[in-house]
Amino acid sequence: MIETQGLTKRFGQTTAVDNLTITVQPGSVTGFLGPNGAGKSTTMRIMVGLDNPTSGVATVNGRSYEGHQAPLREVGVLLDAKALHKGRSARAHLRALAATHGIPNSRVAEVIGLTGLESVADKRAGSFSLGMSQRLGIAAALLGDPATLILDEPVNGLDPEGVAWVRMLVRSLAAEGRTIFISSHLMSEMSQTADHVIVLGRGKMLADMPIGELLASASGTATRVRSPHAAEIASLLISPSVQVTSEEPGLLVVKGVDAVRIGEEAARHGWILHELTPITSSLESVYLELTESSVQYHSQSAASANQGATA
Amino acid sequence: MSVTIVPIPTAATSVHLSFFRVLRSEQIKFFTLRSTWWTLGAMTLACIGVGTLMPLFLASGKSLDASQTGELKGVIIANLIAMATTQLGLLFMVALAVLVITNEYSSGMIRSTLVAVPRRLPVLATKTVLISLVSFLVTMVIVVISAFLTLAVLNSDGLDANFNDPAAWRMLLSAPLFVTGLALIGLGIGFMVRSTAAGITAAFALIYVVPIVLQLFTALGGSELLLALLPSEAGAQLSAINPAGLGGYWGSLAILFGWAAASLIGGGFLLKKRDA
Repeated sequence: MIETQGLTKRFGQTTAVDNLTITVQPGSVTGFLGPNGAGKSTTMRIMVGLDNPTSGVATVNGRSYEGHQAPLREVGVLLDAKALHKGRSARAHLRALAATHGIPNSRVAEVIGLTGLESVADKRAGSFSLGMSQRLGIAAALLGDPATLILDEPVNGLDPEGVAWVRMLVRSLAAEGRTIFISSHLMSEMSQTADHVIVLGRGKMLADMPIGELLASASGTATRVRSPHAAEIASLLISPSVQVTSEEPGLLVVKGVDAVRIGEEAARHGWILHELTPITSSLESVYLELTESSVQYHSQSAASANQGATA
Repeated sequence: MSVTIVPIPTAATSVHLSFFRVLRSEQIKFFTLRSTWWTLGAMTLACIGVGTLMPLFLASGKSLDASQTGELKGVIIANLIAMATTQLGLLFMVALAVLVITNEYSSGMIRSTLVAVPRRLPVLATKTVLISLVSFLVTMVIVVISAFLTLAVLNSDGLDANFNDPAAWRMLLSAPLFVTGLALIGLGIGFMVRSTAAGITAAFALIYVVPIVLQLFTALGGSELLLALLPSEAGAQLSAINPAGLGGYWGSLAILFGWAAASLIGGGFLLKKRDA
């Protein structure tokens, strides 16, 4: 279990992590989501003692990461695939890390096999593609057979085959009861693997809940209504608790009242309905809604495109 | 495609950090880089080459003559070899000592290292042990080989020198001590500045540039004390026939390794304090 309590990290004027209190529950896959620059990597680096927090604490199984006798047994970390010397072979890199804990060479051979690096294990790591470097990083994270894995954007820059491989690995590690804390800036990535999500924006926690709950918390489900009597339906339904919008004549999007009632009302008045569809928000749209206000680097292209259209 | 995780076969309790295990890790890191072997190889060849040539030139120039005893000739030869080995050897060893930590920062390896050893200071302590051993042993082997090679060549020419005077061995020993002291200063600087270029520049500035500045200062009437306190000046006293400087031989040794300790303490403080 990884916990943070009031974790804050400032770099000069910038607050990268802002009073973050989270718990990564054991035995589950927790997705750590947020736009680039939200503070995900900084939080993960603090968890394993690479960065010192400005204030607050992070603990791994009840004590600081550096307080453990065998840190590599507690947590396996993949922060970036390039945390190695290019001139050293993959095997030598892993042996050097294993040696610090007295982990035998047989385990080094195992993680090399597990990550499919046998054929390149004795080549210089500098000649590796990003995909292979990522595999080597995962091999290093698995050396101590840790109960918890921290993976920072493990599929970033990988080809589809690499992405599929990482997903499968994460699922099988989770199936063994390991705790997995995995960051991504893509919700689509998480929706397939995570049980629980923590959403971060500008260093602040925006959401911390099971993925299903996050979906349900979407700002109300809506219903799409297509009818030649759209105008009448709208005037009938509209009230302070019901919101009706129309994008084109004959089409309504109704929020605050469910499809069943809309259908019943229409039948009572004898109005014909061509469509009556409940719209559930996708995780992606929930995520975008959550982080909209906290995106650090807003894209200017949409605004300039609009200007171009009106000019 | 299926993935299975095989747990560590050994008992879980045997897997933990220890000083000797971190030292073993540093040893693996050091000797699995080709640049280490190139540097040590080049150092050995260059030092033995120049170390044996210098006394040979001197013998042909009649600085060593028949009126001197065999013991004195041995001391003079040992002194020349020690000075030549030090001046040349320090170029390689100081650079290697700076690189042993700065290459971890430039490559990103440091993050893997510190995740495995999050207390950090054992990394500095074991690198210190490793660099001390490598620097001392390699330089010692170089001076001993140079010494006996020179002796064999000169004596086959009828010079009749020997190393029976303990002073000859004090001379030879000065080279590994001097080189090791400077290498450790370089290691501490590497931990402090973290960049290879800045580390090598700072280390060689301390060894070559600062003495020149202080010599000027002394020539203009300034105190000689500052000059005598420099590691390069103190180290040079180790191979002097009559060690002068502050506190003679032992004082000079203390100044040299005092610098090494200060540099490593500074490096350790920053290593512990800064984000990696």
